[in-house]
Amino acid sequence: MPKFIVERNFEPPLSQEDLSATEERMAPCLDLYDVTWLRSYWSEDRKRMICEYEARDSESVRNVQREAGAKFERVWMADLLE
Amino acid sequence: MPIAGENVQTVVLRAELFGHLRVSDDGRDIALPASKKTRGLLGYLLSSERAQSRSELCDLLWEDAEDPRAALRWSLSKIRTALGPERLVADRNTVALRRDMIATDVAMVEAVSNQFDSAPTDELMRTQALLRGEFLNGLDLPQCYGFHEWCQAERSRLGRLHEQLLTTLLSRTRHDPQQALEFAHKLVGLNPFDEAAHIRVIELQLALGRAADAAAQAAQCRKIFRTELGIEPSSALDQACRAPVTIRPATPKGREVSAAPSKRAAPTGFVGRQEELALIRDALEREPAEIVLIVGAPGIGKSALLSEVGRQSGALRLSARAVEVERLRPLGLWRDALRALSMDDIDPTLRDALRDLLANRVETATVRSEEQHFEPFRAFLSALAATGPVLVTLDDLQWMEPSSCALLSYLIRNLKTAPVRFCLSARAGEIDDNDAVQSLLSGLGDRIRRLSLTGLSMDDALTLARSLQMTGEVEECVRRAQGNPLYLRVLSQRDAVLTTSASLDEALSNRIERLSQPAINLASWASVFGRSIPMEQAVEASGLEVSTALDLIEELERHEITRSLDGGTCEFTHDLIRDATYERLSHSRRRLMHGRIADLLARDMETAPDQSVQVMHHAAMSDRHELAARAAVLAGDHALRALANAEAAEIALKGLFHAGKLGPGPARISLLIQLYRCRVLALSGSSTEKFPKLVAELETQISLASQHAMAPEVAEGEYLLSVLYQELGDLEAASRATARAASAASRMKAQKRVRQLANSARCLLELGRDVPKAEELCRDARAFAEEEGIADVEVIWSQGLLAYWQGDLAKAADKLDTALALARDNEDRWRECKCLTWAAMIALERDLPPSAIAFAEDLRTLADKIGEGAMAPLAETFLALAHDDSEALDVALISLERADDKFHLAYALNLAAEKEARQGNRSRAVELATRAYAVADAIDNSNERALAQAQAHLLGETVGDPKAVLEWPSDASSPAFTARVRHILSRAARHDS
Repeated sequence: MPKFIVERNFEPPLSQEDLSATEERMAPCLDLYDVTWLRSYWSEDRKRMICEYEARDSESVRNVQREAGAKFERVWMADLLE
Repeated sequence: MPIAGENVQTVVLRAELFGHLRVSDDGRDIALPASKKTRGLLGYLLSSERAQSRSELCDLLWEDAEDPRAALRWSLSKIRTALGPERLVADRNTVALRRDMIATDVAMVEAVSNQFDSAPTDELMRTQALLRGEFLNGLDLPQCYGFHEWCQAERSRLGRLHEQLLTTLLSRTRHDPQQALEFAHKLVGLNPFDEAAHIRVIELQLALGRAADAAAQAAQCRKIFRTELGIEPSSALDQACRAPVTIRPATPKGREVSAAPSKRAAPTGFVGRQEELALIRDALEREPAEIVLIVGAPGIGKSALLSEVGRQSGALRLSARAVEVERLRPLGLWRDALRALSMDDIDPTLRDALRDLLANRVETATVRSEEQHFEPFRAFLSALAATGPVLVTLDDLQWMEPSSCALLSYLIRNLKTAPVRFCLSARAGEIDDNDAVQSLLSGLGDRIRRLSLTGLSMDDALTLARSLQMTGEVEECVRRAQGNPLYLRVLSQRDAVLTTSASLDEALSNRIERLSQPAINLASWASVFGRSIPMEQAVEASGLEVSTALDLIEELERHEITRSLDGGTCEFTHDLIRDATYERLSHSRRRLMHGRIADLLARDMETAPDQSVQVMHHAAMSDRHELAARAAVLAGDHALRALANAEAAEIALKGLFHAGKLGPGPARISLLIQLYRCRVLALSGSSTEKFPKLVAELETQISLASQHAMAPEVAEGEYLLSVLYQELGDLEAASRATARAASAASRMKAQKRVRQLANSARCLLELGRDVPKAEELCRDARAFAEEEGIADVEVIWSQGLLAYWQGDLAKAADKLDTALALARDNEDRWRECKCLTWAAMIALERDLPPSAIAFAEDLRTLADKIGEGAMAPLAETFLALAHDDSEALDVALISLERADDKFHLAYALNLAAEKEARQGNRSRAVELATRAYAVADAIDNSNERALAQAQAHLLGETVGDPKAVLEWPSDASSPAFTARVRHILSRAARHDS
């Protein structure tokens, strides 16, 4: 399954409370759209976040974000380099 | 435009809008109205090509005034007097200036602006010379949001124009590096964050053999980028510094500007004004004493006179100055005055009362009347006066906050018997812009003694000049200064370059330019803070090292630019010096600096709500709408607690403006409802004129909050509605709103449940998964919504998709129309896009191209607003399909593929294949169906996959797994496929048989 990166910026910084609420809203959407969350990186100042997903296409990932009201700037398909 | 008196020969006036607003008649300046709003109006009218409606002008400058039309009439009368009645054309509805009778520099620049490339260089140079400074410099009216927005936008637009012009001139004068350097410097001044502009300066300096200047420019660029943008310039800057020098023309040595201050001492003794002092003494010593108001132009010596009155009176002095950017700080002026009192100066028994007043303890009590709120101040002053006479001197009344006005009025009325005297001062003209001060003054009637301060007499001015040790053309300087003491002081400090013909603005600007560049930089940061400058934060904002900053502060004090105050703050020695420093900054730099300061101050905003008004100001000046709205919530609450209702109402109005600029969603709704709370509570008990509009606006936000199941916001909104209805006398509506507020939590729970059920149904239908379950969920959601009286976009949308799945396209279109309207009402852009997508698809399948085009065009417009994604290429695809344009379709399909929306790509390919097959284009149809199959297969979309296979099958081709064809259901009502697919599958099955 292709991997996708979601870039997010927050001004003011995202609170833990808001993050939990978004996660709660997103959980059922992930299943419906066949999208799997893999991991996220959250900057120390809480202003930026990068999330990694597996999905069949970019628009499914975007739909999940919008269904859950999650703020994002862009979604792109990515290859993993290790 | 109607022209009265065509045959009257009228002189054409010349108006300069770049720099400070000036209008002249044959080279002689015309005295413009002193009111800043009136000058703002004049600037706006001078910039307008067409007549403006009175209501537009009222919204622009007097949105929240008690009587906006009267305020506009007053301002127009001042403009008419200044420019002559024939130049202003006004009727009941519209206002305009006769453009044939006033030539403006902006119009001249704009006339050349579309031919920069073809105009002769001389003409461009003349045009460049017209751009003397920032558009309407000094006419910032951040409290008038309409005007502020317009002015900021014009500054940006004209700034871009100036950049284009300078860039053109720069390229035309490449052969003359000395001349080109001037333009390159101007470009850097316009936008200090333009690295290319810095590089051009460096290249030219190297070409002129000024390696040290080039290195200094590079260092300056690096510093600006690091401290103000937090980034490093690119490697191009280093490369430019290393570039070989190609030409080295001899140039005259530039003027050396010394950073050292004048060696002459600058005594500040008070001179003259004996007649005025006698008049003031007389007024204050009468029984009952009069309230003295000194009115005069900026720099004329009001503050010095006020200070001298205090010194001579021998009374205990309570003094403060109002601050322009702190006009919404509740009782700010009085708190400053009390804070300035030394504990040593007052009787020990009063010290606790003073501490209580300063610690705001009086405002933490629950609801208090104005009298209860002000009484501690009166009691304190009365007790203070019992120990000896007290003189209250309040400066710059034109910026006094409404609550301070109310307290001043209360004290004057209730301290008649105590020996407390009041001496006030204000800028002439600008005081007319402050409604609260105007009503205070008219309420005082005969008790007020107004003293209009003009320039010093010739003898006094000469005495002052001598005391300032002025040398050279003393009499010429005195004549030029027209008795203005500040002007004289500036001229006395000038260096040899400044001529006596310099205006006060030019003289102040020169005075700043004599500082070292790092000192100018620190002064610039200080000027953005406003009057009272917290030095620690100013230094932090400037990015300077503390040790360096200390030296620079000393330099600023030596040059009498700033002076230190208690508590780690400092201030400019005069507001005009602060203005001159601020106005040197380019528009883009101001924005960035205000933004940095807003961030700095916002760190303590929650714990120091007094600071939130400043955060709001700086955030507004840097277009940080979210921060400005959050600061307004805190500042508004603080003002309400301090019973400063007028300030709270104005703060809320500003906050609503900023919150309205945010993107739709729960965050904006929450902020708006909190700000409406502030506005409603601040206005309750006053005139109900604004309430019907507030009711309508609140209802919209409550409805939006309901759609997001935001129970606390809905409850708060309904409570506020009940307050408004009560004030409007509609007790029945108030009681209904109260009941809704009480049941908000349970209703929101139901709303949330309905949304969850319908959302699951809609998702399953969209994705074509488990349609029987989707049907069941859809039924439950509809029943529950009807029972609770809830209209939810997801409920209607899922019903539309169910009808689509079942093949009832007319019903589906009808439901989608309703869902679309609901999404629009809720400002739910994403759902609006999705509903438009489905509506366009259904219209295409129903073979209704005009409808499909209308929906697709709406989708295309909206796509830009919701951010990146497949909506825009999808709209183009629908348009190409509706127009039957195969070339456009190929382009759109490539974009859709790039946006990676496989669901809609498969759908569009299948629809295109169907069209091509109908038109007999067999090979193209097969090709499209084959692509549709591959895309549908990649996302495991069985509906579109089967459709692609069936279409190819009907054309005698096989795509994908041939066994899958055999698995197509024979049952025509099977829920596994949409009705459209089932129809084609049946055709394919019949084709086989």
